[in-house]
Amino acid sequence: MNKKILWYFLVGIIGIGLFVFTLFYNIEDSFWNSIAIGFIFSSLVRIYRVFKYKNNEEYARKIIIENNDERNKFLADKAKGIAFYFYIVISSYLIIILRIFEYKEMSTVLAYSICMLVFLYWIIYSVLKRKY
Amino acid sequence: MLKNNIEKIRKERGISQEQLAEELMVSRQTISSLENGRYNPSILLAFKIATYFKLLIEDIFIYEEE
Repeated sequence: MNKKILWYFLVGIIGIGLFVFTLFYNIEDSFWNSIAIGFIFSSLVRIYRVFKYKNNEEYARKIIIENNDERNKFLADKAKGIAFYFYIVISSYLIIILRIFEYKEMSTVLAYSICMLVFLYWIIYSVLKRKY
Repeated sequence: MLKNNIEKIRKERGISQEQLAEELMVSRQTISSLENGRYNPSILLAFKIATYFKLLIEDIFIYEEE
């Protein structure tokens, strides 16, 4: 638990550092600022949740059930599977449409992303097949 | 197809879905889905349920060929 707090604290510090850095070097674009603010807020929220978990038994029990409930895990895995499938299908159509309208770079990036996803799937599947 | 008598046994013993969920460390929705047959439990949860009711798995879960 303490390791987690330390890690979240570190993320917050990185966020603050990044924010200060963007101000100092006048690179206040929305991308870097958003990342810095995202780091800071996610760190604050997570630290708050850890403290609530430690001091509120009812909340701790709720979190334990949420994280260990096998139906929740089943639903999460199923949702991931379906999302993966739709990503591949929608992206495949998009690649063709983008090619037709001459957005070659976007089309290529999307095609590579599908290739990487399928490749990762194949690797993870092979590893899991050996494990189970 | 897997059927179960969880709802019947639970009601016979006067236990609410919330109480059963609490004992098994699962959500109330999981108990509801199990009772409605929308979700089949893992073997581990099936054993937990059987142990909680002090019954055999076969007394609670019925396998039927489709």
